[in-house]
Amino acid sequence: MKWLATAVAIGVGLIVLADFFFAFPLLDALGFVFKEWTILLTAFALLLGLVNLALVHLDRLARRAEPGAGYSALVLLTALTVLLIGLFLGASSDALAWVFDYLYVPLHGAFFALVAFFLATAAYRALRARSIETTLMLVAALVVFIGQAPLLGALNEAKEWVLRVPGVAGVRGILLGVALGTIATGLRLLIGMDRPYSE
Amino acid sequence: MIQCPLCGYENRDGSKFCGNCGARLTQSSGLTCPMCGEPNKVESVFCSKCGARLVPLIVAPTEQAPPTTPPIKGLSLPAKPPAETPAQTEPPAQTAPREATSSSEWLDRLRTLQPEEEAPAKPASEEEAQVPEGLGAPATPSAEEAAPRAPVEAEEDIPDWLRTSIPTEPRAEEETPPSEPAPSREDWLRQLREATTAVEEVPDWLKPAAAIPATEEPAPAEPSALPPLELASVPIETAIPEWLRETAPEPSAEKPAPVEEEKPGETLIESLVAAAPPTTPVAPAWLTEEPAAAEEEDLPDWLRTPVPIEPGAPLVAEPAAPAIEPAAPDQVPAWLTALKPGEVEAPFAELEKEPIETSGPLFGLAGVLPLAAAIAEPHALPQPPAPRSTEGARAFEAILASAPASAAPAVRPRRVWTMRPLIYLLLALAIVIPFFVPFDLFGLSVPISGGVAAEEFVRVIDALPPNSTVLLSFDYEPGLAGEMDLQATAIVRHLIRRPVKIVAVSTLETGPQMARRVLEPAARAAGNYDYGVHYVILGYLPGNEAALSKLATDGFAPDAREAVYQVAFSTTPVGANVKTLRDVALVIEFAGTDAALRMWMEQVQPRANARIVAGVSAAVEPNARAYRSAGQLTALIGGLLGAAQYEILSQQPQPGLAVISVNAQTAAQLTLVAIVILGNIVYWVRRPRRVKDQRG
Repeated sequence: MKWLATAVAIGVGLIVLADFFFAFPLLDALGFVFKEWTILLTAFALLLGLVNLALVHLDRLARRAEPGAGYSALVLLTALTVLLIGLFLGASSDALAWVFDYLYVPLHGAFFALVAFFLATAAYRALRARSIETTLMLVAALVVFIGQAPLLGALNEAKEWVLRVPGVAGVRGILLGVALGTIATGLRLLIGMDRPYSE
Repeated sequence: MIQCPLCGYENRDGSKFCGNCGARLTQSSGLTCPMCGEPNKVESVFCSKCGARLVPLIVAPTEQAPPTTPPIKGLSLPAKPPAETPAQTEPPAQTAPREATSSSEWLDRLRTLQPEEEAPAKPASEEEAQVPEGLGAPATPSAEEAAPRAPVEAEEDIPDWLRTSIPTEPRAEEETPPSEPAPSREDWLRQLREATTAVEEVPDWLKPAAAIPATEEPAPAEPSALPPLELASVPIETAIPEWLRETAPEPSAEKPAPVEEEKPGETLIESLVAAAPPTTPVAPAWLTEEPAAAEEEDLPDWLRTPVPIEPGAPLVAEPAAPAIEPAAPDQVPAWLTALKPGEVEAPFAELEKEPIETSGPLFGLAGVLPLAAAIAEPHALPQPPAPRSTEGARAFEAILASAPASAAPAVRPRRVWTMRPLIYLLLALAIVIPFFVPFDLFGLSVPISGGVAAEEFVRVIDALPPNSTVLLSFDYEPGLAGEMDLQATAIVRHLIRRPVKIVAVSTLETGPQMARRVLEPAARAAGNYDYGVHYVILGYLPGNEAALSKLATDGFAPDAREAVYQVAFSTTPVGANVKTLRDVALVIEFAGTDAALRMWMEQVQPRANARIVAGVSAAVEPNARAYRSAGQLTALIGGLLGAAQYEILSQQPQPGLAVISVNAQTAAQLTLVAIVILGNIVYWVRRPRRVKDQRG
């Protein structure tokens, strides 16, 4: 039945692509339906992710000898608590807002803030003038660091130049590469060379 | 149709075995490989299956003997098509059974492929007079009785291959060149007589046949009577196939005296023994050892069980020696050299131990890869180990054998001091202190300037018509709340002061909560900015690109409900006049990741031709600058500094948390610059010593 999945994928892909380029009532209607299906499938994928998370941690709990089983229990307990609060009290309830504001956001923010310390030690070891290339990178990093701080306005213009000229040039190159890669991937999917849906 | 040589049953063309008796039929139409048993064509030189050589290289008896006949190619001679040799269908007398092993089949094949035209040309009486009785048939009469026998009877008794091998006097004259220095018939016969004393040297398997004593006294033999080549010195020409007899010394054509007249009571074996030169073993070692070394079934019956010759029976004196091509020793096939004595017996004995290949191109061969056997066998050390190595091994063995007397106290590894704790401490202090000790305290107020981008952003917001609707997308994770919430709060406060209506969406699951975290405090602070009337949260838009594409082309779903009270969006005062993105004055994207911003730039901006401004995190700002410079983004602010600049430029009543956070960020960044500079100083100070150590 792989041929059927391939045929469906190619057909739907061509219709959506044609809907992007042409304004035709039939194509618009088909494109609308396919987008709706995609949205529904994405929502179900979120539900499947939740089920998968529960199964993984339940399996880890079943094997108590495995390290980290306690954390799995904590994950399941927390997820169940938040789920029950959302189901019974509502997504916009004060209880869920409290959990979100005073548990989820601070924990997430603290976890993310650790990156600053790791980056600091990495900068200490990596940003060293070992060669010409590393020296250039070191100078650029120092210019952006200092220019980002409004304390020294003199380097603000230099920082803007670094970000506007060489920075944007590099980003454009990356974006062009991503676009070409996306086109190539789309063509491979449309002609059936890549079939990730059937694997 | 193929007629069976044994039973005469006519089989279909292409049959390999007789349908009546099961005899093999293919040997009459080709050569059987002695190595793998594969039938090959008559004219084949090498086996088509295993590549073994089918044609033996011919060794000239003497270098002085010029070839009298065209060079013989090998076993396939005479290269006559099978159809032209009717004698093939006739089983040779006294030959081995057809079900003999493959090694004997080629011998049978030789017998059946003798030139047909030569045998009938000889008179029957002459043939009978010269064919040894023991080789012909068990009940062969004596020479006196066989002489008057009819030719037809003689043909029945004598096999064809023997018939053709019997040299006749006229034929010998034709084939023997006048200048050939072959020994004369008298010399050869004298050698036979002289060599009869070497009966004691006959191998055991030949002694029973040599039981009949010789009638004449032996005479010293002449070593020079036989050719020096080994293959040519084989003295049993009459008992072996023609290709071996070809190596025998050519008899004298002038006096082909019959042997039986001189030794009437001598058996064939005695004559064979007598034919050997005295200086060499009478029966060569390779011949005497052949029954033991090789398989018994390799020998045909006529060679395995010698038949005694009746007194007076004719004995083949000597075959005609055809011209033989000299062959190099390395060109002699293995199966032929295996019959040679000495150095070739040991390898073959080892090969018998090797398993025979059952598949592949080496099918039927054994010992082709002697390296494997060499690897499998343990190799002895070329020399005993050095005393020092032996002592070391003994010491190591003693260490392993001796158990530790007492467990040594666990030594705590020395802790290596690194810069990491210092870096962490400095960074933490740089972040925390500004929140409690304002820079203004020391007169070091941070001048926030250079906010060109923020000025553009503020102008866009100021240009919004009053009571217009703005779409806000909160696409950042809670981890970025410390940075993005400040941006969003400053912008929302500015929007509320305009005033404009706000519709909040998100492409992330946590987006609606993030929108609530920003909108509710700002609305509460404004006082008269109510949910549903001035702003609404539509919630999460699942589907990523598909959701934004649908939003750009089809607008808001008619049945969309707001996230707080689950009321239909179209029924709210905010959503009453908002159906598509064309009804939205501005789209403000708060992007915490590059992917979120790219989705809006790719799916929404080109399709809906919407005005989009973005507030992004500092990590996304370099990428977002590309969209800003391309004009897809109308305005852009990035990071905490952008939020602080916006707070100041939007002339909000009281500076928010963004300005205070910028002070902490500035301190952290300057600390980081100091750490980097310190790292380079340490690196350059330690570098000479490190280089010296590396060179040393």
